[in-house]
Amino acid sequence: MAYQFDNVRVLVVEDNQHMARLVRTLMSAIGLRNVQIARDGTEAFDALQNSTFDLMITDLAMRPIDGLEMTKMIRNSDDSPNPTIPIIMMTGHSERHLVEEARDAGATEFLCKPLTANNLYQRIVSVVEHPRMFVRTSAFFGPDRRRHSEQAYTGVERRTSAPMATPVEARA
Amino acid sequence: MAAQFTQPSSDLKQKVGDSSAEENQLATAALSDALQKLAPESMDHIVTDIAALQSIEAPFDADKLADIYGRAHAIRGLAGSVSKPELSELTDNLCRYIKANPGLESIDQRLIIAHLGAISLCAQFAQIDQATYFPLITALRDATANNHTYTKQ
Repeated sequence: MAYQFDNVRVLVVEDNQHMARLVRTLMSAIGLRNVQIARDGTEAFDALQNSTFDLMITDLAMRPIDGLEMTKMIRNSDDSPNPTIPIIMMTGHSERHLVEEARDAGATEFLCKPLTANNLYQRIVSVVEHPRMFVRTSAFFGPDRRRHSEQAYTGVERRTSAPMATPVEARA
Repeated sequence: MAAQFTQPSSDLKQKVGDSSAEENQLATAALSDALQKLAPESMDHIVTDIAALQSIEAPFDADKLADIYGRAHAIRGLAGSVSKPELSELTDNLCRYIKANPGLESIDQRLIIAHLGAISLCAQFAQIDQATYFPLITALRDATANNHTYTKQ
C-alpha cells in the first residue's frame, strides 16, 4: 500500500521559478498533484488566507519576506488562518545557526539543498507519520523544539520559566 | 507563562493512509527519476546564469552585486542536484561573502572577480574531480574567511 496524496494540498513557496517547478514536478512524481506556488512570504500568507493547505514547503532565502519571517507570521499572527500547518524549510545552507533559526521561527522540518529524493521523501514521511506536538510559551509558538523525550532524565527541568504542563509520556 | 503543549488537529494522516517500506522505496525511486529527468533543464538554467555572471564587469556597484548574488544563489540551489558540487561550493562562498559585506566599501572587488573567474573556469569542464577544484575553493574560502560572519540570509 502507498500513501494516497490525492486530497492533500501543498503550498510551495519559492522565488526561483525553476526551483518551484522542480519541486512541483517532484511532488507530482509521488502523487502530490494539488500544489500551489507562491513566490514569497507575502504571497504565501495571502494564499493561506484564501485556501486550505495541508503542508507547506518553503525556501528560506526570499525577498521581501524570507522563509523565517513568513514562518513566524504563520505561527504567531492573530490573523493567521493555520498556525499549526507543517512547514518544511528548504535552504542551500546547513550551518547550525541557520537550522536553529528555522527551528526557533517554528519550522517543522529542515531540508538542505541540493534536494535529493531520499531527503525530500523522508521529510514528507516525517510530517505524515510523526506530527509534532506544539508548544506555547511566552516567547515561542511552534513545534516542540525538543525532538527526543528523555524519559530517563531525572535532572532539573532546564525550561525554568516554562515548566512542562503535560507529562513527558504524553509527548512520546 | 508555563509551557502549554497541544497536539494540533490534522487529518493529514487520515487523508494519506499508510505506506509500506516497499512503497516508500518506490516513491523515493520515482522522485529520483524525476530529478534525473529535470537535470538537463536545471543545467540549462545554470549555464544561462553563468553566462549572465560572466557578462557583469567590474567595478561592481550595489546593483551589480545584487544581480551577482541573485544568480549565484540560483546556481547554488541547482548545482548540487546536477552533480556540480564545485559550482555549488563556489557560489555558496560568493553568496556568503556578499551577504557578509552589505556595504560597498567593505567589498574587495578582486575577490568577486576571483570567484567569477573560478565559476567560469569550473563551468568549462563537464566533470572536475575534487582534487582539482578543492584547492581553488579552499583558497577562496581562506581569502573571504574573515567576512563570513552573517547570521541571516
